[in-house]
Amino acid sequence: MEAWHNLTALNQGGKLTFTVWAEMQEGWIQYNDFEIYVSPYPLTDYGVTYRKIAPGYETYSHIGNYQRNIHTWDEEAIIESQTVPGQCMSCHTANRANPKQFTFQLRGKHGSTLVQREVEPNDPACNTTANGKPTARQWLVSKTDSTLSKCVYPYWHPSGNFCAYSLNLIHQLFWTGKDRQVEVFDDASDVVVLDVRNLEILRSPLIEHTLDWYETYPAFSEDGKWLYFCRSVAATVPAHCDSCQYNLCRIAFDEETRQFGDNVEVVIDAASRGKNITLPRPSYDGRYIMYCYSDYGNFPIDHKESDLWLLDLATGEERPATEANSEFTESYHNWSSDSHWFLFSSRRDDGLYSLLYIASIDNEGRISKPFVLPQHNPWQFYHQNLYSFNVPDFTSEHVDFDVQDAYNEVFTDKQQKVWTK
Amino acid sequence: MNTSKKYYLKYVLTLLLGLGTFFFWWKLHPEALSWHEQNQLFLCSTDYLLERIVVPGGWADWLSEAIVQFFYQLTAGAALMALLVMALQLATYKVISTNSCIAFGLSFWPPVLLLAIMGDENVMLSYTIALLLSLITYLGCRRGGSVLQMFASLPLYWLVGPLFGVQVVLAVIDALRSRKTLVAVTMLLAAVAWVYACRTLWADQYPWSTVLAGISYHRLTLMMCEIPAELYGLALLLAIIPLLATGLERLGCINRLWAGPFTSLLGILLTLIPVGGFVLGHDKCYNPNVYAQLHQHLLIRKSDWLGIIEQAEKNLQNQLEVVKTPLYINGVNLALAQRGQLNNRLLNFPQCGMKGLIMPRVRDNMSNVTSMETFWHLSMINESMRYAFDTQESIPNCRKSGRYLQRMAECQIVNGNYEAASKYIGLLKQTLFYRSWAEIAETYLYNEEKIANYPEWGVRRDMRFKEDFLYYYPEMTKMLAKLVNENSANAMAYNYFMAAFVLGKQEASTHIDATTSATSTR
Repeated sequence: MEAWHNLTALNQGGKLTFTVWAEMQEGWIQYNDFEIYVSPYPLTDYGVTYRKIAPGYETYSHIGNYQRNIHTWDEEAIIESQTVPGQCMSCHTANRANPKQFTFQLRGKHGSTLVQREVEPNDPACNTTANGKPTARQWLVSKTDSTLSKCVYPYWHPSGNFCAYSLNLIHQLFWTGKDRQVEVFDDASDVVVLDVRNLEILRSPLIEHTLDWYETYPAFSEDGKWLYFCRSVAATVPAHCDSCQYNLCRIAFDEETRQFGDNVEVVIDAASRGKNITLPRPSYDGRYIMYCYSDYGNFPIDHKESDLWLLDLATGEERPATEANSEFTESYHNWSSDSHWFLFSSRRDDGLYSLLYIASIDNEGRISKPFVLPQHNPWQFYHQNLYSFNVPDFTSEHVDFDVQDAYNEVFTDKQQKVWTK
Repeated sequence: MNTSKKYYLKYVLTLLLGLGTFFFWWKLHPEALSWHEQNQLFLCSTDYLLERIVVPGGWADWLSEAIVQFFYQLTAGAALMALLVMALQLATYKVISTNSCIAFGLSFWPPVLLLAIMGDENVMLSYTIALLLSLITYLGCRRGGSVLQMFASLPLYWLVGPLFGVQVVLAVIDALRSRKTLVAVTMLLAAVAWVYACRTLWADQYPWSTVLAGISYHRLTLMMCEIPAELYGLALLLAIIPLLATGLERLGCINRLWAGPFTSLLGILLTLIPVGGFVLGHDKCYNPNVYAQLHQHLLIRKSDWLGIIEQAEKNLQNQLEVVKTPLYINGVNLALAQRGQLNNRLLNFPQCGMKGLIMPRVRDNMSNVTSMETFWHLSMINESMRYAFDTQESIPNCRKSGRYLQRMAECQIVNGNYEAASKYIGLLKQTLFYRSWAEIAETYLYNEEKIANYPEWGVRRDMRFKEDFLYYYPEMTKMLAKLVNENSANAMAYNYFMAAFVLGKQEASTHIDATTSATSTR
């Protein structure tokens, strides 16, 4: 491993040429040389996080959130299903790859939304330490009488004081034909923002309780002044779930006054082209928004046609990330801390199991050929693997999470309630 | 009776216990063996071994899975179970360490209690293996004294999990009997400290309750964080059995005149009581309803459709409750359909509407197995795949399953998803008993012509849905009608459609009767 690091460090921005010889029955043969291009941008993040779950239907057995040091082979559980028996868990979502601030949900009898964040030592919410820093770890009952559901898909505000969530009434049905399996759809959905300092849910009538629209997948812009989200005209589901085509929209957000803007802007009108946008992820340098482009629906992972696209915020140009896409599903992308790398899940290997791929993007927007998360023996590992790598993200440092405290807190029902005006 | 005759008689009794156990599993409850086997996927690979042994008790777990894979062949499974039970009896006898009839009689209690405990279909073989390894470790280190026992207990914990406590307690009792109180206390403290250290350093993803209950002794432990009290009870009995034997022998020595006949009589009684108790209490331990269901699962697995119908008739005569459950009715209807008797004999057996034909999805590892097979035979491939996948994912100790993986591979082949099929086949090739099937299946990948000519897969392809639409259980009758409309040769779909129609009418008339009755009462 060290030798490989040294080799790539010496060839930063260059290329390595591989010559392969093989001894066959008829003697030695030489294959065509191939090249590996070494990015000029060192990947400085500590590693990646992901959830491992069988790509099933309605039941899961073993499930867990993990972190993998990308500079070694070390994988470590953040939390696994056996820690919280009987509870399902959503994916770990950090604030711009910052392990000191993250959220995920547990579902089940003791279900709640976890928000862990670094705080000042004198903050009344401070109840633990993580990464050597005073930390607040709060388990929240995120459903209120006035809101649609518990918090679902999150995205942090760069300040760390807010986390946007979608609220979704999610259902799924199953296809009978040979090419599709699962269709996930919402009966209704909204977008809200949680002020994590006082646990207040901030709402806007433009993106919440809108009977004619479904809003989902919120994401703050890199400066935190805009809240991007996906919006579709409400349709009769599941009968007309294929008419749920989401546009990329945004609404202004002022962190000082905690107020939303007074209109929703459509950034990309995909529906008018008969297409669909989900999972917008702004790069942290403010240059791009990467999103999934598919035919319809809000669950791209089950749409084979889903590809990654880039919106250049400087020029307003859209383009498919062709270098990274395949004929199978690409989804759940995220950026590295310096926004020169992105990762995503792809089903290109077998059409069913999502694996984690990483690619680099340079200053001119050129994308490198993606590579799968390295393993000791990648073919053997991935061929035997019965889990999907779900909602991957970079993490700038090791994620510090005390599972035993978490177990005690979850099962003693020490949840706090969020509230809204 | 001279000593050598007594010696041989003892081993004859042990052999009888083994033979009884063999016939018990082979003839009386082969379904239990099949059930255990279909809830695991043992891979003959280093990676699989490493995956198992990273937690306390993992070695016993791995070893038990290695044995359970042989349950695929029921005769071999029964023979292995018999050997384990005999080994437990002999090890217990050696642990008691006196050569009396009482000791020998008492040594039958643990194996017979074990058989009773295994009536809970979720008690894993790793429990037996852990008990055995603990006793063997104790016996192996007995001559080496307390210090050797103490050092042996540390790796033993990693090998077998918390049942290493049996060895520790036996060794502590030995130390106390030798008046080495300090050594005994040290052994106990070392054991507690070691468990604490192991759990903190290497098993922190498991709650304390799970670690103390044993991660792999019971299939439900990961969900419930506990094991049934009987499992603790048997472990405790083994740990204190030398004390019990001593106590009973002393009782016999109160009157020297009576000592010989008393111990012989007590020895015979101690042998007969557990065996007799087990025979009389069999139905308490092996719930007839649960085992009738498991037996039906086994017959479905063997495609013994006539056997299912005969068993249903017998169970109906015996008034077993299980015959009225939707799951059992599913199996009977499937068997009737396979024998071409569904429409003629449908109402000869209890029915419960659509649920009795095809179960809605239930989140456990038993309820959807039959419907998984029904969907397969109906050529509703995606549904069979989904039920197989979800049933596998519902195995409470998070194991995979050779049986379900094989079905999933078949579904992927019929659907033409060869890469995914190849993954499942690759795993099955690492097993002992699914390997030959997997190697043959592999030759079919990407070969459309070969698949079309394969009797079962070709037919499934022809008869599956032609049009893609969203599955909706409440509209099952319409879906069956669509299946028939798209391929009129799908006789089973036609029979199920007709049965659904009849049962739907029956349900409707029951509903009308109930409404009329309620109205007239008012």
